Amino acid sequence: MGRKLTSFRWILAAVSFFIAGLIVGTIFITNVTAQREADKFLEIARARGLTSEHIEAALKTYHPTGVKDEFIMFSSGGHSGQVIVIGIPSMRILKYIAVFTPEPWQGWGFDDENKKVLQGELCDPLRAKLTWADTHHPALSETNGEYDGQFLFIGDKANSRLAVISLKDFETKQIVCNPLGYSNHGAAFVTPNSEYIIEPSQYAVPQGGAYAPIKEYAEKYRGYITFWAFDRAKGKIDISRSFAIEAPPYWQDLCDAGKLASYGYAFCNSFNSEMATGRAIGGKEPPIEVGASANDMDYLHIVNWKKAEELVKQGKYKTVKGAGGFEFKVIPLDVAVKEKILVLTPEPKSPHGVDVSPDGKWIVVGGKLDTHVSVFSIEKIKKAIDENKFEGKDRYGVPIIAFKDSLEAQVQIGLGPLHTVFDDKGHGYTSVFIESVVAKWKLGEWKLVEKIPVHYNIGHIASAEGDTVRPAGKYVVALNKWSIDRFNPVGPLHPQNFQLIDISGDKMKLLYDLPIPLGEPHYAQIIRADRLSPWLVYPEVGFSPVEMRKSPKGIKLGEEKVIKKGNRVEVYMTAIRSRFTPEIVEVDQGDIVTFYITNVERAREATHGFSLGGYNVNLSLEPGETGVFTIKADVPGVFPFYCSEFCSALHLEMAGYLLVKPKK
Amino acid sequence: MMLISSGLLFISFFFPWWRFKLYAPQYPDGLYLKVYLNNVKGDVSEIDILNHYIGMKKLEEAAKFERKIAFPSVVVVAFLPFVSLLRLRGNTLIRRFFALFCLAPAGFLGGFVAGLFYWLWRFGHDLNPSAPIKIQPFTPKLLGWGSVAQFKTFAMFDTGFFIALAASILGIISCLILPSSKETKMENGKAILGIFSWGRIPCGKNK
Repeated sequence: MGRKLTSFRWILAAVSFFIAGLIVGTIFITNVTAQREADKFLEIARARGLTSEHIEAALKTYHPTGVKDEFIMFSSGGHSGQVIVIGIPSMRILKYIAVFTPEPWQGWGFDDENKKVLQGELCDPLRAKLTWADTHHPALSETNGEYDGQFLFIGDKANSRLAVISLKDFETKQIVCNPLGYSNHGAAFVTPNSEYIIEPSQYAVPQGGAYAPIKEYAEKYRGYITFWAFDRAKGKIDISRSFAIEAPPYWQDLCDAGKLASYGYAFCNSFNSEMATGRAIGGKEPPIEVGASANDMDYLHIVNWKKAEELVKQGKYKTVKGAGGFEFKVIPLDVAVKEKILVLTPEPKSPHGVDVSPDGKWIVVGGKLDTHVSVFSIEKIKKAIDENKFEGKDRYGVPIIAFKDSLEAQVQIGLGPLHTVFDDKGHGYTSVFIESVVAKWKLGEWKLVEKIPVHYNIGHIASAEGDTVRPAGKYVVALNKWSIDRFNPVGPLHPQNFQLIDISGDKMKLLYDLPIPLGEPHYAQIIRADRLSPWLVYPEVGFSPVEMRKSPKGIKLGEEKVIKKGNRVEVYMTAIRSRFTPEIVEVDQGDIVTFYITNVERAREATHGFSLGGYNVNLSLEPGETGVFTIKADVPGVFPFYCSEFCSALHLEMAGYLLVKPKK
Repeated sequence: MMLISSGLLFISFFFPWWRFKLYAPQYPDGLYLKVYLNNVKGDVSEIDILNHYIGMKKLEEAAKFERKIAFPSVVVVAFLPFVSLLRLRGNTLIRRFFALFCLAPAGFLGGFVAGLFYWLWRFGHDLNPSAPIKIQPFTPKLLGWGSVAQFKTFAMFDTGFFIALAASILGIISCLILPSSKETKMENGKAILGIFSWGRIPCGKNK
């Protein structure tokens, strides 16, 4: 009995040992495997010279294939005249939206309908045909001060134009020229319900594009703050309800619309209240950069647009004949002064950004040559206006509120503050150009919190929904003008550098550098990706993107035809994988031939191109889209056309011939 | 109960009876077809585009006649089982023949499967010889996983079929318990059993 028990104990002990060994072994092997994995990663990091900070940045930005971004950034494309769409935080470029400049991939500027959009409305036919633009400030449409993901507006500084882009198909729907001038800077800014898109002029010119000698600058030259009325249902600017407010020739700069506490107001900077006009050969006047920086203060323009809207409704405006003979409603300076819809207050000289805080209470101005951001209080401004408490008037009679009566605080953040954006925790983030840093400071306490170096010469700055009433926090992007040594050299013209900064923690952390190889971007806005719901294909076959509805020229499969009336030929064609119908089109030399080509596909990405050699044609026919182009078949010969978008295995076979028979 | 059975059969008309899904790398969400008694829905145009490369007919060419008569057929078939409730005089063979109307919905179901199989076979075999891509004639799988070129396919009966299946079973059960006379119940039962055991009793026409 005793023996039996002993052997049982032995067995029990053996089994226990075995199990214990198994557990220990498993833990050991797991540890070893984990250790090996870690060693492998460390080895890679060592070989590439990466620090733990770099690894952290990589982990925060790397997106495995198929994983999408949380935010989408819309950046101006600068000289390209386009808009750049970038995923945040991966910093992957998703698209260049063709706006002011022809863009072959998107067929932008090759289709009869979008060519018309590109030519613009209210544009002087005498002006040179514009083939470029300097896009500056994109503005997403807003509802109650938040981005609604429906439209995007952007201005062209070089030619004083404004464009409307639909975020249903990321295509430009309208371009308008401002007949009152030739340049703007702060365009576009929207009011909290996109009632108006604000476009201030920059370099003052005589009214209506007229001529006046430079000596008559103060008398004849004027600035304009234009309010373009937006018709959301039509998705277009309503020119008939749009108006401008005449302003002194102080070179108005950026604006921002008030919100919540400051709803109904707009704020615009100016930087040449000295009215310097520069020097001709042999002249004695100071150059503009000196003349325009002579005074310590320039003027912040405070505009009551709600009241201005009323004045326009009451007919208290004059109709000005502008460039190209186009008429525009303008509230004259004397009316603006009398009705107190335009009031000035001093701001540190040569300011750049004017940014309204999320609650609308504070207006933050960065003076480019100063070390402070100056914070103005809407409460104080309103009080001064109500009580007629002005320190004086400028030479045009515009009342000026004393600096001390409008200022709330100044925050010392560094040399050359430009623009300010906000997070969800009550901080402002200001780009500091001369110092090449982003400065984080606390609203209300008016104290600098932290600075982080950026590379280099930061211009604008963007944060996630950071100029709305409800910023999302998380990320700031520094839009740096120079990249110097950040990338492989590509010749003397360097790319710009967008740097992603993590602001979710106590300390700001630099995460990623994205070279911008297209133009010098100015402002950018970052929207939550889930606010966007673009079409993946056009909603029905035969759709006109410009008209945003079914085109009467769109056809179904089997309805293809060629109609010839005299020397006018209409070709109704379909495109489907992998053929055009018809594939042979015969016309006579001298015929005017219009092609209506419908991509009858319903599948995502089944885009067909239509390229016609010798006639400078390339259309992008996205699924459902009907494209239109007209040529005068003046060159006889046989011209192959083909699908210029790799659509299928038989893509090369998707081709045909246009035969132009010579005249006898 | 019989009313429920015919009601279900009628309702099944408005649901897809069969579904077919295609998977390939460039279609991460897959392409699908839903076959109704009188219609085909889903990614029809895309599947037609793909099919034209191998010379397959357009889906709208399939079962044109069957789809046309589908609705009246369902209405007629839904009411046939009521005939079996009639107390009939006559010889056993005639009475058993009428009893077979209980099986009408089940027969309709069988007809659908046979028709579907026929069209799958015909589509896979009647390929245009001048198609850009030539493949061996094939029959797409009626049920379960299959493959065609780069596509993996999955086919399965859908809601409508299962509703109709329930209707068929209900129809049979109700034939056995509903008739007021014991005699009719017996005859119905024998008739239904007869189908399985003898197989030579004339079958109710369904389709």
